[in-house]
Amino acid sequence: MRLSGSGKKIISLERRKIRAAYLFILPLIIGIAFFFVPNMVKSFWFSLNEINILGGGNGYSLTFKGIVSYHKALFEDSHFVRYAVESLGKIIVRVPTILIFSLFIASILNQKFRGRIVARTVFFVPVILATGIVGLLNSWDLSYYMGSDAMSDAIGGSQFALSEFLASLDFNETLMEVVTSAASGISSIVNASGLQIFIFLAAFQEVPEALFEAAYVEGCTGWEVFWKITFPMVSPQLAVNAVYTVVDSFTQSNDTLFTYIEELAFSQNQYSTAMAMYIIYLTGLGLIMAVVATALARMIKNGR
Amino acid sequence: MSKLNKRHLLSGLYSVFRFVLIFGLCYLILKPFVIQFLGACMSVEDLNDITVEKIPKHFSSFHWEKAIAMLDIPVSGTITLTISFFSALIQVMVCALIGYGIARFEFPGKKLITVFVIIIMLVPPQVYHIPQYLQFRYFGLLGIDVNLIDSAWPLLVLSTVGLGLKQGLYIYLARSFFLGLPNDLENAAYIDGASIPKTFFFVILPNARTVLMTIFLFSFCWHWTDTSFTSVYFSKATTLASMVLQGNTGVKETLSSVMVQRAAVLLIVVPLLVLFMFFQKFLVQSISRSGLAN
Repeated sequence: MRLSGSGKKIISLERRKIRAAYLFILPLIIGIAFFFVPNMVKSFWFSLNEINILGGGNGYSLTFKGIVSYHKALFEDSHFVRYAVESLGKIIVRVPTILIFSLFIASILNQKFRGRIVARTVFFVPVILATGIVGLLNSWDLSYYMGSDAMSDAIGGSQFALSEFLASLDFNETLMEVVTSAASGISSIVNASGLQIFIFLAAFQEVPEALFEAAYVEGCTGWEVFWKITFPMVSPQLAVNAVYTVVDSFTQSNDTLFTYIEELAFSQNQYSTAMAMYIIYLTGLGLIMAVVATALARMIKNGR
Repeated sequence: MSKLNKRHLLSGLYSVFRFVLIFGLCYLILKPFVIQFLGACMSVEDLNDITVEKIPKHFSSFHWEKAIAMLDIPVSGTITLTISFFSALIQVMVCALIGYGIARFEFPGKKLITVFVIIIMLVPPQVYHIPQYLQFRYFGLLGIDVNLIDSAWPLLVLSTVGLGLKQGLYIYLARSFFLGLPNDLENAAYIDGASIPKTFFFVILPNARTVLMTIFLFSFCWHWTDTSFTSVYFSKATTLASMVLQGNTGVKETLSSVMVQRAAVLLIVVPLLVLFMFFQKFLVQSISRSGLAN
């Protein structure tokens, strides 16, 4: 009896599924339609106008100026283009480094060893450190507190010791520079990998242990298990982490470009120019990400 | 036999390597905090003494007392806890719905929505901060402009529509997780005659515990320390973070005042670490559970 009606049932299920899908994402649709898009358009409109704040709490007035702010940002401002290119360069180096590092650390923290709970908790600290008051207070220190900060002190000291050590081994000078700069970069990489490590770690929890056991019984090496089981299981999270790393590396409270634009907007009263800079930079970044994503998707497709 | 020995040796070497690596990295992470902690433990005379560098000569609870007084923990702690807990709860629920909707259904406009999620993640809130502020300042409700600033409404509304603090990330995270679930899970439920909502609540959500807990944890922690979001839309709420930011330390000297703020930040972070300890216990438990389930 059930079979005879199944054709009809499938069609209606498909239709119900589409309706359900829209219900599930309804909050986001409202958010996009009533908040995100209108406010982005307004910000874009601000970048095309000159904003004059009227005194006495009367709001502001706009004077249409066209693409003046864009011209100013690209051709007249002596810092923006340089900062933007530096920031993009930084992102290109950091994304793969942080992804590999956090995957590596996550797989170690996922193993059973004594003190694992403590180690995991310590590695969680950078997540808290990343934003809000904790990050803010730490970034203050860099600029004015006592001239030297605990963090840079720690790194600086170890960097000096390292270069002394390498010099005593008759290391080539350029090679020495590479090694020491990588070493001093470790701290910044660790502190930027907090969230990524825990996203990977959570993803590992979804890999059933029986799968590993079966693989080892079949005689797989650790290397094979990693590439054939662990890696495919966490690859969806790889994309999340990649995008987050991009976002995080330019919204950090001590990023040069970000600080510069914020200062223009709120301390120097050049709000339209600041908005234009945001829009130029984010469009560029978005385009680069789209190109990379398409290239990767094509590579994966061809690989299969 | 010799092969076994070699294996033993290798795993021993690996353990040593792992210990050195993890220990070294933990040292890197914790060192600034230890220095801050020691700094906050210094007495005022130690701060002015050039010979005292990192380890205080005279331990003193002066800065800690001032920090506790500044934070006004009973009041601001309750406010922070309420805001963080409910924001995180709403964000988890909304992200689960949206993430599931995007990941598991085929519908017209799916690609567009996915692109929007990435854009929301990518665009720093500072870009649309002012228009958004104005929108809540003059919120059009049935033709009347209502001022929603300085109430819990902006936080509530933004979290509900997926635009809360770092929510793009959570939506994307939930989506990625749901993409990886096996199709059999739902198909079996549908064949058994379960409706779509029923399947979602009783089959999918119990399987998504790890990712939901992760989102809750991140969201809670970031709301807890947040200074950019809450303080703008709900500036009357005296959260712990805003108390530190205002910096009414009651100490005149700059250096000493900074030490009070540092001590306060360390105090704020402690509950989050305790929360994480519980979460981490859950991480371990869920391994055995998912092992059983499969």
